[in-house]
Amino acid sequence: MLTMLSIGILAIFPLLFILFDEEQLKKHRYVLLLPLLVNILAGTIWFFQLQTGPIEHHFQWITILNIETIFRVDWFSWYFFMLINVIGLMVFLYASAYMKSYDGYKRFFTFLYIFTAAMNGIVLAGDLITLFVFWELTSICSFLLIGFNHREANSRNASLTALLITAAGGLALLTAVIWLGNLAGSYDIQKVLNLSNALHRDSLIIIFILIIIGAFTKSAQFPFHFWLPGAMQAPTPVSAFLHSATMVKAGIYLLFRFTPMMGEMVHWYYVLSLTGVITMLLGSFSALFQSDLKKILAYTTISALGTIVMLIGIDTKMSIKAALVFLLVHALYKASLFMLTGVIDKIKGTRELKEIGNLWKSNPVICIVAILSLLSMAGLPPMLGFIGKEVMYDAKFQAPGIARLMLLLSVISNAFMVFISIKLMVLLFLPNGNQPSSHSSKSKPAMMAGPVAFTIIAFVFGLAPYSLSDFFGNILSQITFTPVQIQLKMWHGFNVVFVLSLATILLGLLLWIFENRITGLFLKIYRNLFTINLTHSFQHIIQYFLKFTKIQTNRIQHGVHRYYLMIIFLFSIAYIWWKLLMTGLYVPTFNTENVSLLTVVVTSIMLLTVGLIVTTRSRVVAVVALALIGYGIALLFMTYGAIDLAITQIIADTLTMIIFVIVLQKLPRFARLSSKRSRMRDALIALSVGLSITLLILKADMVNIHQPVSDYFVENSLTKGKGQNIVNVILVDFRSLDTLGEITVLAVAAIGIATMLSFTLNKKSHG
Amino acid sequence: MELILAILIGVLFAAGTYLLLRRSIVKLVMGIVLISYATNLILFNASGLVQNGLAFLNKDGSYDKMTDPLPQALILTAIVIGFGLTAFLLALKYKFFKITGTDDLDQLKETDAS
Repeated sequence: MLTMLSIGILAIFPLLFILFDEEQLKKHRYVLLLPLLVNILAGTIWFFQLQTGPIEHHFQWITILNIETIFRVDWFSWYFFMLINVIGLMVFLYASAYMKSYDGYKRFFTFLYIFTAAMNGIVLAGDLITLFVFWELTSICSFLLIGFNHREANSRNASLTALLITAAGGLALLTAVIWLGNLAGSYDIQKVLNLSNALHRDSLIIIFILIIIGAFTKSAQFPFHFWLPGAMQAPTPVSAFLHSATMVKAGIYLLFRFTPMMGEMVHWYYVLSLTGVITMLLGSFSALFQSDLKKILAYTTISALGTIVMLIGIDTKMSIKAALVFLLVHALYKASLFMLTGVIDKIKGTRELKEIGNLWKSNPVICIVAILSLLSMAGLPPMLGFIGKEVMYDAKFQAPGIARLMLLLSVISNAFMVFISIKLMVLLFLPNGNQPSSHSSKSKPAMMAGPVAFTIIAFVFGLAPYSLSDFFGNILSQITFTPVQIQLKMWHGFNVVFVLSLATILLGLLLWIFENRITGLFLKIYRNLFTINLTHSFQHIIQYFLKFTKIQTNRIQHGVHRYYLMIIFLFSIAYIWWKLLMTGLYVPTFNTENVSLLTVVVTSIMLLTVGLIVTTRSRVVAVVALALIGYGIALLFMTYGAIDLAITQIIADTLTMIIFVIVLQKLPRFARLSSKRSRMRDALIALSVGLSITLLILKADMVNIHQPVSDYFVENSLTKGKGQNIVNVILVDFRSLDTLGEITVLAVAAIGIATMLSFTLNKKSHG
Repeated sequence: MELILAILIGVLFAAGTYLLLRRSIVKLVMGIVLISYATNLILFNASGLVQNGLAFLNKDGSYDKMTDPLPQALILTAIVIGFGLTAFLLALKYKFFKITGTDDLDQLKETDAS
């Protein structure tokens, strides 16, 4: 039940906002932290419960499809859960102060709560369908939050790009989920994971591809990485929370989860490690050329995500351990750095690297925290980042295959990180000549709490990493399904790994010292390597797609009524013919039983008049011909015993003719608007419609499925309806409601006509 | 007679269809009138034709030559509603012409005045 509560409280909490207006909420903003504190409490309870084994809750959902909602807490989900909620707590605290100057305070926090609920849902979900639903929900929240400043085109474009990429991945994931569910006969993740041996290899490969598409889009892996820098359009708390610490880790969470199932595959190893390496290098290399602080952090985030994916791909116990440790390292320093960026942004009014400077004098606290976080990013002692880098090198050094090559590339990538860290420290904190007037040099305690807390955590764990050993050992046992003992130490002894660490730092320093000479060369490489701007190409693709759909829509929904009608007619004819041919054509023998001279004459005249209507160019002739046909029909009615019909027909026909004449006076002459060819084509269609109708009627004469109900009326007209004229009795008695409807239609038409003729439209607005 | 009537209805439908496919709005209205006439005739034909019959009872409830009364009642309703529709269409057409000055349906493609 606690699982439901921890997700539910986040989802329901925003409803309380109805009680406050925005100003009140800003005043009592510490209320906002309540749900997260509840969650951390839940996490603490789970910590003790987990000692005895995983916690599971089952809920019936869609029984007929064999779908139930399962929430399962094991060490691994607990790890993510605590990451989300502890970082979440600090981010909420931070955001409550940061967003004070923005409009839409309530909206922002509503989105953020729903996101947090969904994120918790992903890591607590014990079945694939629930996981997928929450997965998609995070994509939507991310879309809404990136586009929070929706009045700016940049924000809108970035959020749309992010949504399209992550939602496309979501679709791939959904396919994989349903496929796996069908194969396993259950969506329970535990049962699905046990399936791996029973799976056919070919289908496993396709499922694997679908899953990595889902994970790579979410976790911004090459070639889908480009949405993440764009996502920096979001307010800084969002970048700190969604786009560095939590949401982008969802893909990694998924990969971790599927490691036992697919880790043995050769494809897994190559695809994940290579993509990871490319993403890692691409991220750290691109970060070198950014000048916006948030963009720098975004690219280093891409690099870190690549590192983790690569480590998962190598899939040795060492590498999984390294990935788990690195995850924590990165979440801590990156959230802290993002928040600090926001603080600096508030103080200096800019995020441009060159315009900030000399922070040391005005804000030493920020500088100390930032320097420690940057040390963690560079992988230097005494921070946890150092441990993270050490285990990573160690994992690669001991792994077989292409891991050694990756080790070399990791050293380069990390050297870039060192370089970036040094560059940031120097440019931000030391005096650099230009000093724009600062807005307010004070930083709010609420905004500093997060960075300080995370830095202290990273610092403490950096000094005492062994305290994490058991915890990571538990998770590792869970992921790999085998008991594992691990040791985390600060000092591993003077070995290859240590030498590599030294080399990394040295390389970073060298880069810094020879920056002026190297930058030009790098920039050249960068420009040559990235002639294609993926963001732009993606937007081009979208634009072309929209153009294509527009053309397609114009083709189908062209707005020319004739072509719509033509299609309707042609399909109706085709259907009638098909039915007629299926059941056999019927052509009656001509019998003269009912034929009188009068009817023959009348019909012949009508046929001639019809020809007149179609061919005449005179409006008056057409109207008179139309009336003649009406009268002809009245005569036919009369001949075959329908006096009432004849009378009604004559009245209606006369009135129609009168109205026609009145209106025609005010209208222009018939113009020949269509060409001869299109007239021929229309005539052909018209004739085939006529022919099929004739055949249909003849066929219908032969079909008599039900006994007519008319006898009832004949028998009861006099006794129940007290009338001799049966038609009249039906109209006013047996089916009087129909008649009421008919009168209503007439009344509505009359009112419509009256209003239409009496009111005048504003001609200016209608050309 | 059924054969003759069927041919007549077919011709009316053909003419109505042809008029519906014109660009002139007045012709379109005429096409609708023709098709509704023809449809009434289909119903009438379906009731079975009885020459000089009558849907009318004597005072004692007996009858001589009965025609089917139900289709007649339905057609009667249809004629009246068809008339209402035609009248409305013509009024609409009148107003439309007064505002736009055109009888060409192709000018009606867009919702905005061009």
